[in-house]
Amino acid sequence: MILDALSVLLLLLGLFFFVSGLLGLWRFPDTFARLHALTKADNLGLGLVMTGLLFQVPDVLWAIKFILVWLLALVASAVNAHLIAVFLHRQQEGHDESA
Amino acid sequence: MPLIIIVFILLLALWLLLTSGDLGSLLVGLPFIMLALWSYRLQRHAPYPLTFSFLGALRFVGFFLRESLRGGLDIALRVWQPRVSLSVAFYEYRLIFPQGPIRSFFMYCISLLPGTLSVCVSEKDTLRLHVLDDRGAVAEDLSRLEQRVCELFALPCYKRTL
Repeated sequence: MILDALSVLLLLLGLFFFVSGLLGLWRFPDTFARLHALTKADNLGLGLVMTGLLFQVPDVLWAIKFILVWLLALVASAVNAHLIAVFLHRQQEGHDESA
Repeated sequence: MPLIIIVFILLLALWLLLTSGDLGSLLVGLPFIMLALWSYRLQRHAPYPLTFSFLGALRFVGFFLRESLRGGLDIALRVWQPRVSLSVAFYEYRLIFPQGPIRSFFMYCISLLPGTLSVCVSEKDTLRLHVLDDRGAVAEDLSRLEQRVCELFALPCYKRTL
């Protein structure tokens, strides 16, 4: 019962950070700033959701699985952000040279 | 044993763990493992041995979790305010890690931690990064992360010279 309540609390908190990331995507002025919002807020949001789910696991294997999912999502989000940032940077530099 | 075989076994173990040991799912998993191995061979840096420190890893995990919390809260505080207050800027940072896995790891951590985002390695060993707010303590944050990464990979603790 207490564990369930803790799960719900953490899931809601995680959701709050996902919404914050989304709001950042909408309100931040440029693409670089938006990448910040997505990587940081999703990192914490998914981390909280996964921690919330940890209280519901039937065995240790599932716990390891949840932690792995979080880590894989972190890697994916960092690599994606980096690729977009490099692309954007090159584009802007090219633009500066032609100007 | 060649390194590529070790990586193959690690990836296979990861896949089987994620699918709860469902062997039928290897029909999907195996092609992707092969793809990952192929991309692994594309890296161009000179190989160097990796060492880890258990104590360093523990400290790093604690540090990473704390900083993740700080990073998420920082974004949440900014987006929920009536006026978004940012002071974006580019920033140059001298990398101490040679090209390879440790440098990549350091750069990805930068992107996941508060207010900083790796863009590219511009000149020789100089990292160009984007900061959300240049009024914060960017240099301190980066050198703290650098120190934690050194501890994780059991590298001799570098002296802070500025």
